[in-house]
Amino acid sequence: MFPISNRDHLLHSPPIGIYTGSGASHSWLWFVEILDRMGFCNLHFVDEREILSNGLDPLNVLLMSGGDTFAIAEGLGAEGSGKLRNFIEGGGLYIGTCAGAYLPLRSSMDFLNQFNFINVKISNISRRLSELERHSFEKVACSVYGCDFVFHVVREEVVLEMVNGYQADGKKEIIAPLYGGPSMLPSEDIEPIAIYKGFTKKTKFLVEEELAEKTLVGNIAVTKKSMGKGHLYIFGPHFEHPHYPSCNLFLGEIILKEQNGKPFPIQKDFSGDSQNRVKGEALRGLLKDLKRELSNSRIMASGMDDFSVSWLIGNKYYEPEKISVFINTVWDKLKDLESMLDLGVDKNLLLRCVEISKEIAKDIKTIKSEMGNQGNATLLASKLFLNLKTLSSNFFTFYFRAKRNRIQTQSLGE
Amino acid sequence: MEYLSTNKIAIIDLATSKITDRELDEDLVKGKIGGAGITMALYEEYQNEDPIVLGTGLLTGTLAPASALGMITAKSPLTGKVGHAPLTLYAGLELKYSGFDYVVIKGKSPKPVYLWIHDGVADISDAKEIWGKDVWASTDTIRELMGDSLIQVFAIGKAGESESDFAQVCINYWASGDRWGFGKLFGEKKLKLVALRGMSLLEVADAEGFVKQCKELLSAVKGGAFADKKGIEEIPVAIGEEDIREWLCPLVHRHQSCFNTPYPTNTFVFLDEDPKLLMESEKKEPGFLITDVYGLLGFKKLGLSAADACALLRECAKYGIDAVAVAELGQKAGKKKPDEIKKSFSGLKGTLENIGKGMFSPWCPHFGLPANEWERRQAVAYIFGIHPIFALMSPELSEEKLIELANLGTGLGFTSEILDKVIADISK
Amino acid sequence: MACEMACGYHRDDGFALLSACIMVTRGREKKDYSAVVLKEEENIVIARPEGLEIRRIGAVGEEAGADQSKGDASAKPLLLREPCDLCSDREEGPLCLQFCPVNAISMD
Repeated sequence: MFPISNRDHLLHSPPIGIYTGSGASHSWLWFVEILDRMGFCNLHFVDEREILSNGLDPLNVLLMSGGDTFAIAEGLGAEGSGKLRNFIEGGGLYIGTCAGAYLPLRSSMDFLNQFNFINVKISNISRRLSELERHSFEKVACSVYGCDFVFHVVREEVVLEMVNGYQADGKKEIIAPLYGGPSMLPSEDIEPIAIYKGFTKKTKFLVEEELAEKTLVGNIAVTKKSMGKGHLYIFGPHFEHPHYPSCNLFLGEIILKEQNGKPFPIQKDFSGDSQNRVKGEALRGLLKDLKRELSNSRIMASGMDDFSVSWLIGNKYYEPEKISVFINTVWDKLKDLESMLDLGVDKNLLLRCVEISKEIAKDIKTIKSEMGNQGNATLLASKLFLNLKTLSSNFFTFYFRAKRNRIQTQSLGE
Repeated sequence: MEYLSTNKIAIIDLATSKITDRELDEDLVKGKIGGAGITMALYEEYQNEDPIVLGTGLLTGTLAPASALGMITAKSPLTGKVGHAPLTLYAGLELKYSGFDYVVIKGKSPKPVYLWIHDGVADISDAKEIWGKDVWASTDTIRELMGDSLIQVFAIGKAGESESDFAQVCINYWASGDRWGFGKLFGEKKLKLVALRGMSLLEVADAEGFVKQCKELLSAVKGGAFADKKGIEEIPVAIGEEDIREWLCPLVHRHQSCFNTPYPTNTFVFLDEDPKLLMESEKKEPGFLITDVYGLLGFKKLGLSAADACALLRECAKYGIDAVAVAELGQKAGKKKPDEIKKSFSGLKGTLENIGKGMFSPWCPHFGLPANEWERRQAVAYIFGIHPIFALMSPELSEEKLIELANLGTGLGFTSEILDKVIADISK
Repeated sequence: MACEMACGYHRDDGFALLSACIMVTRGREKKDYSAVVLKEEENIVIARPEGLEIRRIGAVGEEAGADQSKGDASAKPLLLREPCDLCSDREEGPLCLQFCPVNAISMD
């Protein structure tokens, strides 16, 4: 359905924004991987500052993946919420998974109450439990939600049934991974797309199966809501998980379907300013510099994989292995850039990546040393993960820019 | 070169600080297979520039049994001929995974430098902080500087820096199989050390077939003649030095294998700690890993106690000097006390009787094999990247099996005729 | 280390160590001390010379506490070193067991 050789598809890739700001976990990298695989190359990376500076205006799609919903809401604030509303009502497509799914749902909680785009309740909240159930759920995985808590009954695979005529990869039943996303109750405000149907052998039960069934089965996993000229698609499970190709395909189909067949010719991203571009041997040299620093970082980070330490940053725990995840995602794409030396890449952005990589290497070394001396590295870890996110989003910005330029150049050549 | 390879050769000119990456041409592999076959070809290509060639065998770093071997190929200052020295433990593996199958080091640096080879990037860095340090301190410094304790280091100590004929290139903290004085070459080039680390992925042509064959070979070798034995002391026992077990046993902490090698050819002795200790010692340097049979035997023959002999081996490794040379020349000079022997490191001179005659380091015992058979078996080991001592212990790793494995891994259609030709080319 | 290579092969269909869920900690080389670490779904199993230790992932160190002992149900998997699945898709079972050259690994 998305043959990468389909040039027309590549040429008309809608501009897609991926949220990488406060509260975003590492699962936005999954969006990058699957969209790249499917041939979408018009990708852009936005944080809360960019959203507040009208960064959503040129976009057709905004993808909000998993992480810390409260941190996302706080980062965007009322103004960000307004920008998001305008974006959607103006015809934009919002796709939220997990934390990105909770964000627009009705809530009275601080920061979240500035959104309330969708009037729907969730089933995995403690106020829906009996006193006895509440007591037993308190012992297991949950997130504080005012006087209540949001609880999670399973992890890993769940079986979904597509409803209302929807199919995923030609199938009415699909397996998708769930990591804390919402289970929604029916509401007139939404159009259900998929409901939780059951479990597989790989499902990890966090409570007794009976309770898990009662919480999930029959409730809504994926839903759609129209808002003005645009739409929101809310996914409880992570349809962007790279190991679930049928789910990925469904996401791709939604993105294209919601463009209503409008073509979006890839614009060249550079003006005539050649000073901002670097190509050929100069580019090779800079890429080697980046490779050098990334290699130093990933070598240092690899030695942390056997630590069972984690850092509480915001409301989420970060493990040392996550450092390697960010670095290796960038590393794996460097090779592609090395084959595009003739095209030219944003020099300043690349130089910035080299600088951030150096800083990352330095911070990893300090953290390792602190850990070895039983010190507290939480603050430094927080800075490190911010830098990793900045490095990744900067890198992918010029990576996808180079890809778009390659396509544009190839199409002009014909 | 698509399979079992990182497809890269680094050409490093220390005089100009220029580093060039070259592709590993598949035709070169088809003609020379790998390991010493290719290091020899590279040596000949650059011989006017007095190169040191680091290399890995075709099967190094795979699941093939005992696929631990890397090598240094260069002209020995001791013999004046080209020789190959083994790089065992995890050094061979790390060289391949550092992103280069082969590294050619030519020219002389005007000032002390070290090479940092990582993930397909080769860097020449200023070694002023480590020049003058012993091998142990140098390795510690580099690992701390780069923030990783798994970095593999080929380093010289004071022996190499002062260009002693008997200077050895050591691996991390331990003696290597360099019996050729390659440490002197490092010193002449002002090359203090080569540090390696990498996370490459090697593709395999027929992956399932290759892995299946590896498993079968592993079962076959595990049932071999050495099955119930372990440790460095069994090797001298096999060549008639029966009393070494009793002599060494009280100090033995553990035996260690090189990468993927079913027989542990190295033994760690505790000199400053109870050898029975299982927990992590509080002492920073409680002992020494013995990797060199003849060095150990050499000091034993001087009448030293095991503790004194092993302590001297440790000093040799720190100084970066060949323990066999120290023992042999010490014996000639009538030295018997550890202090006098240690004092002889600096300015050690003399002619060794037991210098290797062929191309492959005499670090590996002959186990009673005639010289030409030993040479051939070593050639096969160095070409395919098999631990040289283990290659002699395991007839199950026959040439036919290794060729079959090479073909499964690369799809290149090697034959025994090609192997014969490569061995002949190396030996001429 | 052959165990790491075998596990890496199971994950990547090539020879690599980066994604193995079993690791040999070789860093204390001068002390002749190492351990084998196995990453499971929620635990890290550490086999040291003096005995076995099982730790909850993320349960030790700076932020250890009651909350952390529940684990984070909404944590996204890291997809780098995935937890040991005992090579469940292989008939012969765990590859690390089959390829350990010194028979150091067993399974109950």
